[in-house]
Amino acid sequence: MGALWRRLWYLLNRSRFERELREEMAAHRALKGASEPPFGNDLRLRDEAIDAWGWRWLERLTQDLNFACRLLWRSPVFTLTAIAVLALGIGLNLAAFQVIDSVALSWLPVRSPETLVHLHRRSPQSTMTSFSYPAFDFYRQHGSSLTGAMGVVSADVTFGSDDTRTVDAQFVTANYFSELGAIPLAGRLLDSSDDGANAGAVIVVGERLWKSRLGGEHSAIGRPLPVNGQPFTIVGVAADSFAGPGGGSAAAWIPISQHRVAFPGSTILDDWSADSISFYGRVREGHTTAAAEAELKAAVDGLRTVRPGEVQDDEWLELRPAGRFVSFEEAAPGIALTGSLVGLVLVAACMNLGLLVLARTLGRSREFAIRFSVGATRGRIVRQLLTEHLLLGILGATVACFVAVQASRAVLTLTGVAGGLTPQINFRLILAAAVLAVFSSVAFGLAPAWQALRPAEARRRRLRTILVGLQVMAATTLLVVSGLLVRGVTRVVRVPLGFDYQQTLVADPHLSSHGMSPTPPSRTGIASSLDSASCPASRMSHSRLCRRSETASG
Amino acid sequence: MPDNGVPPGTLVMLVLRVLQSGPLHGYAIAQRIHALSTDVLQVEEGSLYPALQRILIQGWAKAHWGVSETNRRVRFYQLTPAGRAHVVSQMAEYERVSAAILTVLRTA
Repeated sequence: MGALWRRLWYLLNRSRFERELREEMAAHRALKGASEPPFGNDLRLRDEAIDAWGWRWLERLTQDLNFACRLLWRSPVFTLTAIAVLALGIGLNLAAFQVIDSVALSWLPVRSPETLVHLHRRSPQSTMTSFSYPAFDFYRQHGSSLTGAMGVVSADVTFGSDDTRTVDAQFVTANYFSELGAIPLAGRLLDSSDDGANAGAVIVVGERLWKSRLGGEHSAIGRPLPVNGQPFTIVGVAADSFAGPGGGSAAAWIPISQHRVAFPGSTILDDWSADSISFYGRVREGHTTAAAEAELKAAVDGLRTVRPGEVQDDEWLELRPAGRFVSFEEAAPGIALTGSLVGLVLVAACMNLGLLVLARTLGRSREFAIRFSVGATRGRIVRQLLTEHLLLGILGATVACFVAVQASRAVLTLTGVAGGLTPQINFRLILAAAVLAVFSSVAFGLAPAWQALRPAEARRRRLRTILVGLQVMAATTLLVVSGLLVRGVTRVVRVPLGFDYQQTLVADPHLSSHGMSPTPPSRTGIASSLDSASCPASRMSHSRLCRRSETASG
Repeated sequence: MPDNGVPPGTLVMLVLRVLQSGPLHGYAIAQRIHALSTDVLQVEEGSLYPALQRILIQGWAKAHWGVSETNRRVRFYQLTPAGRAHVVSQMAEYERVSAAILTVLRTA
């Protein structure tokens, strides 16, 4: 360690130590007698002595960088083209990385996301993600390896007097926000006072809804807001950056105990057959997921003895991580496809740039010849060229970072991922950018550098052919794959259904989310009332009408 | 390498060894090695100064300016404790290896 510090010290006080060396050598020269061999070349000897400090590489790098900067500055068209090509190639890869990073690698912005789980009802034949509220309540009480049980029911509701526009709301257990460690943007979020039969009908609105429908004013808190025509009171605002387990979001949140207020006649809290609750929780500290699952298996068996009809014979509860937007395993195929496609774009970009650089390098043979003749080694010339290419790579990657953040934000906004996952320029992105910069500099720069060293008559056109070939290959593959994807989408849209759908309407009244169980009498009742309804039933409250012809013929 | 040059790798050890008896400047080091080797070894400046810089970097010796016997301003090199320890271990190692080499040369 001491030697390293001294080397640094010598580097920092370079001029002083060089001067001392010069004086020392001058004294040595003067001391030498006439009979002894003469003192050698001062400059060379001093250079060789300074080599012992071990900083020669840094000096060379500085020289090379200096020269590279001057060269790039002198040919701005080439430089800008190269940076643009690289920014596109690297930027696309970084954007893909950003999206994957935000969605599958980053934890959600909630408290202890690593312990968050999503409960699935499993049997060898099936996977179900919804529970009835009584079953949820049973597991909440009997699953001792589980803490912070959260139940969520999503439903479309109407606000105010306008009952044609529906908004997605979540009915959540009162511990939802506190369990996730959410902080209100204004007012308060739900708490334990919102549980129970006597609690008031309250609603927490999301930031977007607050701004668009309520003017974003603080006075909105405490004001009444009719939900499905029923009186509710706004108690607070949740920020856009809030994300629920699995990245879920909504426009507003209502305590699940108020479901029967929002939907009069709702039996959701007592009905064992209404499977509508998404069940999230945390694995208790000190438990492994497997141990928690084993313990929950006992709870399932306990429920089976109490209510034999509600649990399948071989049912168990599976805990899947919910601390990320999607788990890496689920996203892996998509990641592989995206990764290879954007990788091909980078290959095409590098080959394209390789040709450009090759032409430029061949045009510099005079310069290399001069450098060779004044004593430069091949290694030095190659290092010079690689430094230039690395500089281009770094410049391209820097621009690419900004391209990537914009592009990935656009992708995440278009796909509607929660606001909490806005990609930023972070350490991981910069690391990825650096890796890509080095990779692409080598990819486009090594071949031209190697070619430059060969004598002019030995150069073949083969390298150029290979580069063109690779570029065409990458471009063709990209074209074919994107063609296939577009064709796939068109085929899905145009698939013949075998019946005349142009005049068909589908009505989905979302009965279960309204707390009505789909028992046979009511079902036929609804069906017959729909039959008699006149065609475009646009004012039908709480129902979603979908004209097939609009989506299917596009 | 001229016939009377110092064998590669041994110069640092030789320099440290002659410094054991007290501080010396560059020219004196070369002279001392030359004299002690009964005029066989000739230390060239081209290898002496890189070796001295290496010794400084490694912390085996310290340099300070002083005045020579002939009233010139010269730089003296003085062994540090680390340098003393190093030269002892280097010499032991060198003796072991050269004895082994000699054995091979004589018996093979």
